[in-house]
Amino acid sequence: MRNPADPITTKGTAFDMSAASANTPEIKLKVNGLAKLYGQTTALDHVDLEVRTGELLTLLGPSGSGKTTLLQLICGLQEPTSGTVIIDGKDQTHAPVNKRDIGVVFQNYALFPHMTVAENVGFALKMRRLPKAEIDAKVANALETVGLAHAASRSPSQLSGGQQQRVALARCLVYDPAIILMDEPLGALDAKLREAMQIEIKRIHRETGATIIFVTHDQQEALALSDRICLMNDGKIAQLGTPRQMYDEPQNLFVADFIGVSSIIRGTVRAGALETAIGTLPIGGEGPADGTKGAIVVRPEVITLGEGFCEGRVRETVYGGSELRVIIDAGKQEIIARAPAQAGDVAVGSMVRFGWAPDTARFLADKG
Amino acid sequence: MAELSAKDTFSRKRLRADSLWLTMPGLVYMALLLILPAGALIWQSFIDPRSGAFDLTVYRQMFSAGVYVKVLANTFAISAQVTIVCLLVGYPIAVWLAGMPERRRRMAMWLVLLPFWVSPLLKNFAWIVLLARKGIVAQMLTGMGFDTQLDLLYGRGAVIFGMAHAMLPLAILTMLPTMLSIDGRLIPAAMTMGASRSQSFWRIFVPLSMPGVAAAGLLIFVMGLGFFITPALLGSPRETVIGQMMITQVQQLFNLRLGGALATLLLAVTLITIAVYDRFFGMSAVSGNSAAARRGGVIGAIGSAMIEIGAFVSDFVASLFPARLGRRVFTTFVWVVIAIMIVPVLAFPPMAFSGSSFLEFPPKSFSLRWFQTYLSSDQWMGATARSAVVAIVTGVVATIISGMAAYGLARTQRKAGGLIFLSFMLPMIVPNIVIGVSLFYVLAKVGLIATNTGIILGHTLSAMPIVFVILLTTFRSFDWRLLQAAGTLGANGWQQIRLVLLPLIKGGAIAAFLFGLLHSFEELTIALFVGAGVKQTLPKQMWDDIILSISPTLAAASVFIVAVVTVLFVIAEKARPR
Repeated sequence: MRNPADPITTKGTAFDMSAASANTPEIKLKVNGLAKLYGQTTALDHVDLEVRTGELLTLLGPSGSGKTTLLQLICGLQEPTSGTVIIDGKDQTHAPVNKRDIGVVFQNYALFPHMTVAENVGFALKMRRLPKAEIDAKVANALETVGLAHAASRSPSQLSGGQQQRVALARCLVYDPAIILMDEPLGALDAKLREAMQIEIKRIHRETGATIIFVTHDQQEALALSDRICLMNDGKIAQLGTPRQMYDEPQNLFVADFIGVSSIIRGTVRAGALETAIGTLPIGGEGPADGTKGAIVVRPEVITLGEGFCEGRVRETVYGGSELRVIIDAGKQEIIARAPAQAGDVAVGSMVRFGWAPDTARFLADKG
Repeated sequence: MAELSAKDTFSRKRLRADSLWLTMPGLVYMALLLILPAGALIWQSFIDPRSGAFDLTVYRQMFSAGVYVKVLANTFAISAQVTIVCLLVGYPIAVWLAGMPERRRRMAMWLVLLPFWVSPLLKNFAWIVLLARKGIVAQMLTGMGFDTQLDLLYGRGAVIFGMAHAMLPLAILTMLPTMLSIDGRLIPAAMTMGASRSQSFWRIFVPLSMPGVAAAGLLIFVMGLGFFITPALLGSPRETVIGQMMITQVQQLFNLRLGGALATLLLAVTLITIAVYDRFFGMSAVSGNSAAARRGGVIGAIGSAMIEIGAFVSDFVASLFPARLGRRVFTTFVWVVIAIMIVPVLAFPPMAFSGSSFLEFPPKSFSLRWFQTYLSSDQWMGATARSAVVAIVTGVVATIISGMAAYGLARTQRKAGGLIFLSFMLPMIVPNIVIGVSLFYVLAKVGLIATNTGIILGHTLSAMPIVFVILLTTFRSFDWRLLQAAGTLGANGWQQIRLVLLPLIKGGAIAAFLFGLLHSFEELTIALFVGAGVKQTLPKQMWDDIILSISPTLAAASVFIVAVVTVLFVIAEKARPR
């Protein structure tokens, strides 16, 4: 939970430079004003982004937000309309894809079906004309890292989805590229396997120190994996920060809505409080100017049930094992709260009072 | 009552499990009109007609006379050369098509499909005119300063060119599906790992496209072995192939024993070729089931050597010239080939409207006299009418028989399915000319020779593979749970078929019917033997005219055929589900 004494940064730099300034990390990838237009549609709208050496950065966003376009521009599968891509201090904006020092794990892995696992992993080294003995040693090493040393001579079609995923990863690790880009690599796996692979990727990332850019539309996955998350919307960066920053300090309503679950209550500021359809709600900290339009964002876990300054009717309860999610209709406003699973006495259709400590909610002004 | 209903469910269950019986009519048809006649033809070649004893005289005669061995060698060499030309020229075109976005490819496909559906007879006929001694091509070449006494026709070169031209669309259409099945991300994946464009093409795309190339090679080679139209029309006596030999033996010398022996030889060579192919590539490549070719062995070693060389050479060439130049050369090549494929189809109409009394291209005056000749000739009109009737009946019969079989096969889980599929493909594997001669032999004994019925029986047989394949794809892509869904919603068996199944397979059925019809409408070989010169179909009439004397009436008839083919094929292609 955020300390109430912390200043709330609604605007400003994408990530907290003061924390980083003590030990300024090396910048692996720098993207400047990168834009991509398809005819009249803007897929990517002048994006600036810096990726630090050795970090795992997630490009998160709904489909059509520009995250895949950004990925393709970084690896050179597409040409940008404007802007530059700088990898290791060198301008690579117009370098052909095979001359950039990058590795890509494709959505459905794109393993070569006519080659064995070892041949797949060794392909990049062969292209770099390494001696055969060295290729063999590096391939064995990479397969060891992903735990597939025994499968070297199999064909990709004989492997399970999770194993194919590991081969795709080993195929990148083996030639130690400057950046590894992963395009929704876990999308095709089932939930259990996906979690296992997330842990696996975290381990490999820590052990190899590789710089990884990971594209996903799954916010849970992004929160679980990332050093930092870059949330995209409409071809722009909505917010860039650590998973904790994204969850606790969303800088706009899109971020608050996209990451985690929250109730968003809209209204207008009057005398340090927000006038809304469900009553006048307190705003924590320094109140914005009168007349500001905006919304209060409340996470389910901070809402207390049974007492408080609001009232609503319980529309639905959803049992989730460790918790009970309670959906409340306060007029037309939907509120999502959380009760301990043991509580069990929240009856659907009953009236319930609820509230929250003003400091635990967050006021976000509308843009413009 | 209880007993009755129990019996009812029992019989229904048995029906569902055993839908394979629906393939029976088709299998019986194959047995009676393909296996039995071919067997009988081969059998009688081993039997002395007077004593009834086993006898190898015709074979001794065949192998001792140098001419037959030479003709066999000819057939082999021509077929092999045509195969190589088709693969080398067709591969880039298929690559070009495979690289297009879906929408544009559909448009571009017409450029290949139209020449595919115009029969070899028509295409070769056009080349006779275009490549003639004073023809347009010779004039152009002379204009460019080549030898004035150019003899473009009647030689090995013309035969290879004409045959390759006739079969090129088939080669392209066979290679394309494998290429389309290659995951589009593999090339970008290879390039992110540092492979150049040509490296990734040679190391990833080429090996993965090989099953399609092998399948196309087999198809072209096997069809080439039985092909006689081009050698007869564009070749000199030195290019005589087995097919022509069989026509001479059967139609002019009435030597059915030698004809049978030649058929045996042709069939044996075909089967050996298929066996060798299966040994190296596996038959699965033909049906396009496996993406990866079998590894190892001689072929594997040659293949990887070829890939290494190809990658090296194209990298070297790419380093010398800018990439844009390479693309331009490629595009130019593609369009030149497509132009050559289409030109003969487009060359007919102007020739038919010519006012002169011999065929010329380009025509020097305009008149409709040749259309009048065509329309007022009883012979031509009779042939046209017969072809139309035969084609329609063939289309209907083939669609019904194949439709039952395709339904039965699509719904079965049994192992026998593969074998049954192969049985329905037999008329494509057995050379057409062997089918023609064996039908000639057997139908004569039951009085069906020189009858429309005989021709229809033969045409239905040879139209079966294409009709069957289209219907099978249609039924295979049908989601049978839809019928169950309709059942749970209260539809009875007949309603399920009428309201759900039929509307969804209608397109495929129409396409199958029209392609069967088209096949019959353009078929020459079987009509040549079974019609026996009495019942003339349109292609047969054309064939006779081309052999005897080339007149502009032929061009008028060709225009008619090409128009019919184009219209029907456009309808069929539009109806065909994908």
